[in-house]
Amino acid sequence: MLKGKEIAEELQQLAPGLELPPQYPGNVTTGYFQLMEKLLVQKAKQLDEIAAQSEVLDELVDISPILAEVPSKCPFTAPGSYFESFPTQIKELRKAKSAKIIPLSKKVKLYKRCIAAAAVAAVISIGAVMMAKHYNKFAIDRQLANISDEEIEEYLLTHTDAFDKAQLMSSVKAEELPNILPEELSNLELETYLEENIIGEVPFNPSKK
Amino acid sequence: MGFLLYIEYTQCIYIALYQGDRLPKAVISKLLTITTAMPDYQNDKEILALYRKEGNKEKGFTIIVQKYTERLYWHIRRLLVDHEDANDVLQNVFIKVWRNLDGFREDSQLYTWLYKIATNECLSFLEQQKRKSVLSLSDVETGLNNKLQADAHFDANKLEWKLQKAIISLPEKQRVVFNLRYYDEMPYEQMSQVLDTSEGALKASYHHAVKKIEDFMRNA
Repeated sequence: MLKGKEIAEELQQLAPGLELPPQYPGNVTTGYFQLMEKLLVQKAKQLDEIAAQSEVLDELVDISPILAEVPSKCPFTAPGSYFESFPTQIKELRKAKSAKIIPLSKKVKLYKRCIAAAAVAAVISIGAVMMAKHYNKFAIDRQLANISDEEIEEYLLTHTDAFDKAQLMSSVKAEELPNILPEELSNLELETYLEENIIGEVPFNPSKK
Repeated sequence: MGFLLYIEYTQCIYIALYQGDRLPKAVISKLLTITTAMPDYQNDKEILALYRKEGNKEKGFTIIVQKYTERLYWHIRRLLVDHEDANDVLQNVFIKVWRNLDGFREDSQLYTWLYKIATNECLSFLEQQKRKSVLSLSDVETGLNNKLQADAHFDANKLEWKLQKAIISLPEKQRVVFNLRYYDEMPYEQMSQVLDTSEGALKASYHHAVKKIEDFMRNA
């Protein structure tokens, strides 16, 4: 490319005496070239959107011409000024979520731990006692079930005294006792039996003995 | 590197536009397609740079919220139907963004990262709904249909509402693919980053979704 001086000399040779202004008189507004880049980007973005739409639409026409005819506008609507107020909404929410959490002091933590440990220990102890009681009850019942009536009768005859008899009788209701007396026994016969067997066993004046 | 390429392409477009009709339209279009992939990236880079500058964290985050609220809202709303649900999920999305933005390493674009969070939040929300619906003996699809019909503007005779009913009938992930492609016009490459799925699988999924919707619309 010819430099400025060479061009001027060349022009002088071609047309001697012709004096032309060295610069083009046209001008552009200030900041035109700075603005140009932004305008181009905007324009390019619009064209790109159109190109993308066209690409999606072409693809849809290939797959389903019927669906391509349906308006692609989404029918949903957002409440008025929702988008304007959303940044404030999120700002408040963010502040609320990131509110400073004051940690519990070590003493309170220790105290809480002790209470928790005590509660756990109490639950375990009570559980153990209950289980033991439950188990023992069943153990005694199981053992008694294995002892025959004869053995129990013999044990009571040999190991009980008058006090035990009275206590045993008091714990049993009269209705529950088997009717061991013959039905036809008269009151007189009964009194006679008592005088001979039971009343005779009781000392009348034990202090004088 | 990306920025330098962007400048280079911008210059090419400048020349292309300057030369007007002398360049084939296809060349101009191709140049524009390549170039316009850059501006968002550049802007997001600037926003992230602002966010990382000391004392500007909140300002940077607010710009991200302002820039992406609407786009993410519609993505979420189309999946969840109900405005209140969409609002709750959108709030969660931005709270997650706030908590994790420091760790965002820019391996992907901010735009795809945000869509990824929003999509995952929607799927988690629907999962929760499913668990609840087991107890109430009604499925999620019925729930979404009820919400759709409860919309103040719902009109069963209008095609756009019929289309929504058809979309609801799709399996969850197919629904996401269909919405991202049909409404957001997202290229498969970006969608692949959002959903961690191959482009081929996404194309197949979109194809199936369209066919099912077509059948639904025919029989409706």
